[in-house]
Amino acid sequence: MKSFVMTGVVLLGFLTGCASGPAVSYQDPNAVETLTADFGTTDVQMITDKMVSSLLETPIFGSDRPVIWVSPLRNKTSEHIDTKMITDRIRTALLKSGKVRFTAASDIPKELQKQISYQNESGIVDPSTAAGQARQIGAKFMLYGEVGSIVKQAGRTKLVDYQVTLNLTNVETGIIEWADEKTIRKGSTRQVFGR
Amino acid sequence: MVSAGKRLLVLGLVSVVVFVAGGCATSSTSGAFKSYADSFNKARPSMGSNDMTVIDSIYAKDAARRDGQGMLANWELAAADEAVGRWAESRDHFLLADAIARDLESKAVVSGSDVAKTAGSLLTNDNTIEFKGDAYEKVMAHTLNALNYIALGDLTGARVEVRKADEYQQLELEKHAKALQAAEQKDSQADQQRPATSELTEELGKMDSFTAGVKNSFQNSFTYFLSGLVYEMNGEADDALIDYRKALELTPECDPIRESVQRLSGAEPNVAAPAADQGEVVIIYEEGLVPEKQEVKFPVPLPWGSISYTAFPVYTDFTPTAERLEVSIAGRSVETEPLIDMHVLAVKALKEKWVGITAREIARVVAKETAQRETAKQAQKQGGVGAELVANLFGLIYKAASTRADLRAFYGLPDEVQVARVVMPVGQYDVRLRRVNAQAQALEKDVQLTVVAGNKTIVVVRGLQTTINSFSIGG
Repeated sequence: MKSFVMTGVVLLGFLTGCASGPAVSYQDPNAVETLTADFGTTDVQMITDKMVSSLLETPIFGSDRPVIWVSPLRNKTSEHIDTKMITDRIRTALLKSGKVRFTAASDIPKELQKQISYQNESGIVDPSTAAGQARQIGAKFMLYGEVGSIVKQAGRTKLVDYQVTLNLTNVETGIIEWADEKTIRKGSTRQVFGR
Repeated sequence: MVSAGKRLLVLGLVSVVVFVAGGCATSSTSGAFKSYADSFNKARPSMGSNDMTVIDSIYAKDAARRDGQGMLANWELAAADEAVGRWAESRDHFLLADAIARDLESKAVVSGSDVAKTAGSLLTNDNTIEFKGDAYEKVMAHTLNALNYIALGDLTGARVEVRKADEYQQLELEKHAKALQAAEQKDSQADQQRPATSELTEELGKMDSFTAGVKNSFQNSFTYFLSGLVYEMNGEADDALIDYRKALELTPECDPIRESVQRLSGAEPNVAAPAADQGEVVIIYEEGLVPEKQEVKFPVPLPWGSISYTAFPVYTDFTPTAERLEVSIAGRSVETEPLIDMHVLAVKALKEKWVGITAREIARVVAKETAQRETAKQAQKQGGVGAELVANLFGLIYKAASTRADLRAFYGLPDEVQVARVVMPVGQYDVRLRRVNAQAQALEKDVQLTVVAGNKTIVVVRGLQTTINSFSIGG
């Protein structure tokens, strides 16, 4: 009995001890990550896969590889999400398909402007190789959308529904040519006993 | 056999105390024998000063911890940074504190470390229990962080923070719907169990009347107001109206909020939106620092002739904040109107925890008394009556020294938040801010701001004892 109580006390003591340094290891970035119910890389992956395959199934792009302007997704959740990571992945996957092109003006407008000024005005760059002014290609489509979330909590269980909506609009006509959404439900339950 | 059981209990508790005290590096701001209020008092004179040396020296060590003490230190640093307009630094501290808060909230319901700390606290005091923060403190942390994001021009970030604050308020509301009712009943039971002293009864009576009329500690009008403002700035008028209405429910007498509701709902034609050549100036005045908890400590005579001690945290300063900020702009003069009295919320939050505090204090009296009696008995067996007397004397001294109330709280919060809204024609303005502090000193500050058509210019004013800091955002 005594040894049982003392073992319990010692165990309890160890449980209160501070954690030492973290154990570091390399892991598969494509593996499903469920450390917390927060928005994570697996969610980005799921959204990208769904949106890219849906976009590539549409016949709207044709064979002339239209130019797309990407706007960052509006974050309407209660988490600080880097939404650019989502649009960057979608852009990369679409570019790899060879069906569309993207303008960097939506991403780095100032840097582009600066580079053109540098090539044309600095006197350093050979004028015959300098980028021409007013030669950038206007985007035919705009890709934009938002990420929203609904959080519900009851007792030990927390449920988060993330909804991502993406739209592709023809800049000239203002017509939304394509739209899709992806909902992800994540749940977490606090343990009854633990550290 | 009973004696052996008691010895084991005492040995067990002492072991846990040793593990708790020795297992982790001790906090630099609070502990079993160190008052957090004393630590904050050293930082208090530096709040509002650009020189962060003193505040950093007090909180930097704790801020690196990943526990409740780390969360508290990061809150205090965030508040100190915000008071001098160091928005990015303040945001980073609030984010760190939030990450810790979420870790603590995701711990198991029966957490081994919490159980051990609570068990260890039976021979010390509540200061060795993990600090988890009150809901009103967490809600305010997100609200003030939204202000940081607004100042940094990140309206998406501000929107995230106001949503987090709203989620906390909503969650607490659902959690407390039944619990609040039950707590009121238990509170009256605890009143009967509590060791009666006229001092404590008097302080509790004052706390009761001070919070009369306040439903709960976790909902506040300023959070809803700022939330409405962020939604408005994001172009989401419907969401803004919902939160302005919630704010109006909590502070029906506040004109700037009533006008916001009337303007967005179109209910009052005389309260029109700014014209095409007008913008809006929103003044947010954060006044003072929320008062500190005080300790009420008294001896408890026990039936067998011994004496134990018990200590409770209470609020004793109930001086109302009458101070308003006068804002003079282009010949017009407006006064800010109160939205939130943090002092009342802090007192209410303490009252909501009263049942637990009382139960632990009673258990502590029993545990410390048992430990003292067992130690004295052993001393008597080993060294006779003289040794027993010495053990009893040391026991008495230890009980007196280790009985301390838990005075930890987020003291960097403003005592009161007030607002004013003024619609102005487009242009640049010199604005005079004037306040009279508690020492009847008139403090003035001039600030320049730009009003842009259709935009909001936010003026954040932080009034501390002898300083008045102001920052013009946007326009």
